[in-house]
Amino acid sequence: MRLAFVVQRYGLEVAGGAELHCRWIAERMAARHHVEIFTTTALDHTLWTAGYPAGTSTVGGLPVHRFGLARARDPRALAALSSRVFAQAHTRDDEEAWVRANGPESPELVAAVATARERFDAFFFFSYRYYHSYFGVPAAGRKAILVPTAEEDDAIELGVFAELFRKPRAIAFNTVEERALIARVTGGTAAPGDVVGCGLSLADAGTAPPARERFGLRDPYLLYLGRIEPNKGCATLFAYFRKWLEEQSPAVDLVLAGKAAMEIPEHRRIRALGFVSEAEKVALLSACQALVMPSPYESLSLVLLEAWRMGVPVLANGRCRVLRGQCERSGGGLAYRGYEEFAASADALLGDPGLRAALGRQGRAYVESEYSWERVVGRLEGLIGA
Amino acid sequence: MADPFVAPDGSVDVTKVMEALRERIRRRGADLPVDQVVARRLEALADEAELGPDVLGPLLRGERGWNLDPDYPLKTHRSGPAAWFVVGLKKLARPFVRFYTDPIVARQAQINLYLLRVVETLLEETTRLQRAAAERKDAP
Repeated sequence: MRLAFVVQRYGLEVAGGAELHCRWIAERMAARHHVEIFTTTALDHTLWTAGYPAGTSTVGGLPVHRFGLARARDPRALAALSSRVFAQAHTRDDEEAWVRANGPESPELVAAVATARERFDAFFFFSYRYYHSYFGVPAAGRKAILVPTAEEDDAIELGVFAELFRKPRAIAFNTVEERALIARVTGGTAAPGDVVGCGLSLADAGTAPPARERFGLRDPYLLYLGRIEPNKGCATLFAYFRKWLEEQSPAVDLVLAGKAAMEIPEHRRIRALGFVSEAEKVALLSACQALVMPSPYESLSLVLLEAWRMGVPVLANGRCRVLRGQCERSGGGLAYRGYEEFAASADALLGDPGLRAALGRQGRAYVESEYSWERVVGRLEGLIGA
Repeated sequence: MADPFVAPDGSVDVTKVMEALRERIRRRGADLPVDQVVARRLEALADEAELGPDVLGPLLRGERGWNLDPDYPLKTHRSGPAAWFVVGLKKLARPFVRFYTDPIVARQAQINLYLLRVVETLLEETTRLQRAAAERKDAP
């Protein structure tokens, strides 16, 4: 089959989120089908400033068609529209204006999808909330398959997205919680779909020196992987961790690996390593006591699955339904609500190697059974034939 | 000694682990003075409402500074001399704006303090009642 993948950004430099999810799936599907990527020239996800030239290039052996942006994101305009559509009486036009302001606005990309419609058997659109999906799904018609990567935030409540979820041929959900969320906002009238998730493509840690030596980590540590920003729950994590240190003085560090988009508190037990390579990430995971995932909004959390794939237990924010559901289904992590449960769960994990090992074992078994590539690819192919 | 959370077959029920941890927290709370329990419950509620630690800390310490600040920051998206000019103009205008906004802000601040006191009192009373009920239940 001929398959097109449509996503807001694409490239080896984009190391997380729905974009990485898209790249992994596209590369796997390419082993059995003809695959092409349709995307924008954006590299930066906050302002959508261009970081790639427009035109066709090759990434990981796949043709990537990049289209220019009509404009960069204007944060002030987006904030003003967000206040209106999320908190005040507003019209459908206001919501469409929000989608345009959210971007990345590339009418050329949408036009290219419409033109290429006859050349492909299916178009996979990643992330419902962006311009390319909202305007691209109707352009692809019944060949559109939406991978929403939806979270329990304000955007999901907008009426224009309920309309969008009814339009594609099928929806590939990440989790059962995401399917329930979309069923709620559409009143049960969303397009049919299946819980697909994503397989994992872990780098070989053997190419990186052991994490403790490489980064000078002497004490046991909890690991946070990903963008360091308040939206990911990092401000709360810092507050909890510091309070826990003040109250109980555990000999443990909090190690952060990822790009910082907020101020990181100065503390001898908080170690920010900045952006790390895939091999270094795997090395860090293999040496940590547990992965900590404080995000209140997640649609899947690939790092959670990566940790479990390596037999690492997880300490996750239980206020996020997806994280709590994943921890309970897998038996691979403890899901806390509030500071006291965070401190109690962290104490239990650090003080009980048997518990850590059992959680890691259960997490690994869950990922191997539910998120194998064979299973993911099989379910996606099932959706194309739906 | 057997691991308290791991079953003999090596498996763990994470729901039961969290239940056991919550029970430990509850039992620890039973030994604390009422004011500390109230502080912890306020903290948990603020946490649930996603009130940041910068707001929460002064609030729990009873500092008046946590309340609404009538001064608003002066910002501009412009840069260079235009920014100096615009911020200067806004500085000049601010006392006149505050002439109208201060009474409203002050009134909201009073309401906030009143509501905080009401919530604290209710939490104190419910904590005392819960303890009394627990003692009565445990009595022979």
